[in-house]
Amino acid sequence: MRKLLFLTVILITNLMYSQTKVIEDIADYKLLNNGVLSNNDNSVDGYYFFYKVDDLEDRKTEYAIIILDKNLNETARKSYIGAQNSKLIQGVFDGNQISFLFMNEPKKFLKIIGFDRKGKEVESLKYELSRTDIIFSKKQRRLNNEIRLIPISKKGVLLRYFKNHGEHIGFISTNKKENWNTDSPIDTIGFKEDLIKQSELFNSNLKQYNFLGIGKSYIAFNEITTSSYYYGYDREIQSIFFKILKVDTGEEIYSEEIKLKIKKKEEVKSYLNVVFTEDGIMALGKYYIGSKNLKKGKSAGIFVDKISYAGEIESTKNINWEDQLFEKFQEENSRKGKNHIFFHDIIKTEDGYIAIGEQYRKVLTEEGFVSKLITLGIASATKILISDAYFFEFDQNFNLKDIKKITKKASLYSGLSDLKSAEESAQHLKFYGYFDYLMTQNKGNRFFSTFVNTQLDKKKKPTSIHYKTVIYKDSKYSESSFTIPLNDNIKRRVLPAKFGHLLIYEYDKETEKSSLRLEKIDAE
Amino acid sequence: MKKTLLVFLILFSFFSFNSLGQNTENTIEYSYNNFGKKEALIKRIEEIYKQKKKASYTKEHEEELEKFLDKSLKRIKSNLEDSTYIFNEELNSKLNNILQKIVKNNSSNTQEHTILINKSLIPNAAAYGNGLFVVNLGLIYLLDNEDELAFVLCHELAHQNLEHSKQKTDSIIHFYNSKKTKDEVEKIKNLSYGKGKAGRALLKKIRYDITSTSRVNEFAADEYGKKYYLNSGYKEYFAYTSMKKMELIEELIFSKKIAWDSIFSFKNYKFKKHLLEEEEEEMSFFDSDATLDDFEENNPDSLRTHPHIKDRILRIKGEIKDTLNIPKTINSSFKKYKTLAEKLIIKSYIDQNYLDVSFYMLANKLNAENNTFYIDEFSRLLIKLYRLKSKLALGKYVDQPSNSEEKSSLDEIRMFMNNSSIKDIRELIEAYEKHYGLELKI
Repeated sequence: MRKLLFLTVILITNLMYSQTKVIEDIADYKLLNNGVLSNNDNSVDGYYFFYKVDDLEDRKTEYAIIILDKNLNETARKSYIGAQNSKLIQGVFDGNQISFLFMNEPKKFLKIIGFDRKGKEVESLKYELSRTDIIFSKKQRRLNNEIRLIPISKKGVLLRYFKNHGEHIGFISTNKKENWNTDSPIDTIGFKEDLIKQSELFNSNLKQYNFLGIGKSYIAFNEITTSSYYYGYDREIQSIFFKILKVDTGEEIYSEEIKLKIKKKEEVKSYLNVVFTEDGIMALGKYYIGSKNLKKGKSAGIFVDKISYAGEIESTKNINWEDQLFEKFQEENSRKGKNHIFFHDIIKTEDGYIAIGEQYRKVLTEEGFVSKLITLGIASATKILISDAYFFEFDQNFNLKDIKKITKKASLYSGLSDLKSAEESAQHLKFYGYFDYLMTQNKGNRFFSTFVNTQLDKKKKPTSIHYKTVIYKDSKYSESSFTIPLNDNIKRRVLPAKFGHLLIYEYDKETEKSSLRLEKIDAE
Repeated sequence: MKKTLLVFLILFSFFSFNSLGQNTENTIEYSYNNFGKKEALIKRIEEIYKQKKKASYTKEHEEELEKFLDKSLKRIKSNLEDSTYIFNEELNSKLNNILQKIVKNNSSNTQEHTILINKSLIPNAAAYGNGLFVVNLGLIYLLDNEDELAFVLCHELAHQNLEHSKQKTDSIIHFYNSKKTKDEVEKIKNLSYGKGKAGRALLKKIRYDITSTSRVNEFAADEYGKKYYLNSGYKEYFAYTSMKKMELIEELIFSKKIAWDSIFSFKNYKFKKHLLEEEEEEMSFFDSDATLDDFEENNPDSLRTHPHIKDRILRIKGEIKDTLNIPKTINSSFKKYKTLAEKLIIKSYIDQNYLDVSFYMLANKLNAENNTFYIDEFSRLLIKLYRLKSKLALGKYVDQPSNSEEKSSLDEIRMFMNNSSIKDIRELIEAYEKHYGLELKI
């Protein structure tokens, strides 16, 4: 039965008078936000609802955090007394404790509070921020770089945050080991928050971390050092390192510098995805030949490195688009030679690996062409068409075994420069989260990959959201899809849920009632 | 459902008197509309509400009282439309006959009585005052003979004769509209901090004041009810068993272990037993099974409208020795009403898409009784399941299994419905069709 998100703490039978309405308004908990208690394999452990309970003395506020398990059973109703205007950003469960990340803008700090397995609040951690840090964090949010907590199974949580115009990673142990933090070079310059001088930012080795894989004990990321964190003409990438760290100690087990300047026929790699398996670490990416191709974002193919947990490269395999992979992929689609594939994820199966991607190509639309004429060439005539989903199956040694195409509804995106290559445009789309791919939940030899696509009417008003889940089970693929109609009276949202399920949230404007329900994705 | 049911029972039930209407959304089956009795009934209920307005104690908050009663009447009328209240000639007559017998033996009051049957499984009854009573189907389903049911009706009649409904309405209106409450609300509104806490404390106090009167009234209704009961010639022992069944409700309802694989044993069909089990390992956040609650105001004990059932049993049992093993004393003439109530519950629960309870109730009927009613209802149930799964709407009506370690049969069937794919259900329907020689339209 669906769960009603009640806001009233004390329910009185069928209240009907204005006077009780007044008392209820005073006595109610006010829902501030809610979210998913996530873990690091895209599955869900539960949900939290964050309420304001009361204003207290000394500018403090009492909040309530209501915790539901993944089956929507209420498991705790915890009181938290904190500063006024505290904003709950995220909650995670690492197996040892539930951690909540708060941000207080007026008081300028980040705070992590946790509840251990007995439900007791553990000592909180506070990260002081400056006004500029908060503004900077908001700008990063617009670029999809969010402050985030990442749970590491039974070990602790990683905090990704922004300070002094750089990105930082902090590890907070939940099993009594040492906490650690990435270094922050700009701190040593003596950066002043209210006086931002571009000269101070140049050559200041600001760090940015792009996570590629999070395992039970290890994490992999690209560490990008730039002259400025802001995107603009003066931003210069100084270095890119592909790194693998042991989480509970912060020890670097593998580091490789990615060359930024290469010769005419030299080969360079770009790491995109890392999977931690029992056999070793599998790092997947694209490789480029020659600086011209690298600049255009035109890759020569994909590669897979197998790295041992001691940090040694055990094998490398390149698969050239022209030789093998691309040919087979192009045979599958109508516009032969025009289509590209963007890989989102790679999943370990019993007999190998499956890389999950979406097909895309550049299209010149009539509508785009007209806008280009009207705007005297300012508007872009080309668009990127994202169409079918592809599953590339590899054996243990990364030999391509098969390609599976799953047809899905197409999405069309504009606003991209005509001069950009298709691959460059795809990177741009990925950065802004425009691909239809939502996530993959993986368990044993099965996985569920979900793609979301919003349908528009002629006036470009969203009419429905279409979900397609591709289910891989017993080496076979099946599909499940459903459409959520959008209308003005009932708001609907689909949220991640426990493995193989979706959580459907509905808000009925007429009755002012919200409800949550779990639905299993049908795997025929 | 079991947990929800128990919480509900603790908070609101056990033959209460009530001043308000019920509010459940249902689909139509055995509706008053189909029997041409609705208009006359509405007239009668409107008349009752007119009397209620005239007979109120308070003149102080007349306007509020009128609004209150109008809204209550509106809800009852709407529940007649949506078939929350159902009509069944046999059951309605039986209840009326029992009540008439009690009235005849006890009271010179010639007031006309009206009994509405609510299709809820929750064993409950209520006296709305001025001759209006509600009896839930769940009560007839739980109890085993006329005496036990008569005791509940005696209790409700006592509520009516002691004017408890009127008192409750009056006290609610008074508590919420008194100058004292209004002053307290104003004071709270002007607080610079701690408004919420003070507001909740006030609500709790009002609620406590109202419910503590209710608890006292329950004892009084038991006492007077027992006198009516004995005067009517019913056996003292069954007053005790009637109460005892309320206490043992957890053991009596949803406690039976069902072998689902034998229920789904159709010709040429292999039941997938793994569908009854949780696919994922349970991962609890906390070591304790109990809910951790920092907010004491949610303590359900302070919200009880009824005293603990144990205390009530002690007062009414007389010389009877209290025991946990009460023998089943199903009266053969009463059995048909029990069966009828059960059938109506099954039908209405399938209509309302509460498929877990429907599966549970049908489970032992399908194999034990080769009755076309159960076979047809089971068909309807399977088709409903198929349709809800196809529309991704099962979760609207069926809970996820509870998080307790020991899974009940109700949890297992919820798990089965959740885990089954559309293909699994189609296979099950096909096997069912072949087994019973049916042709179902899905």
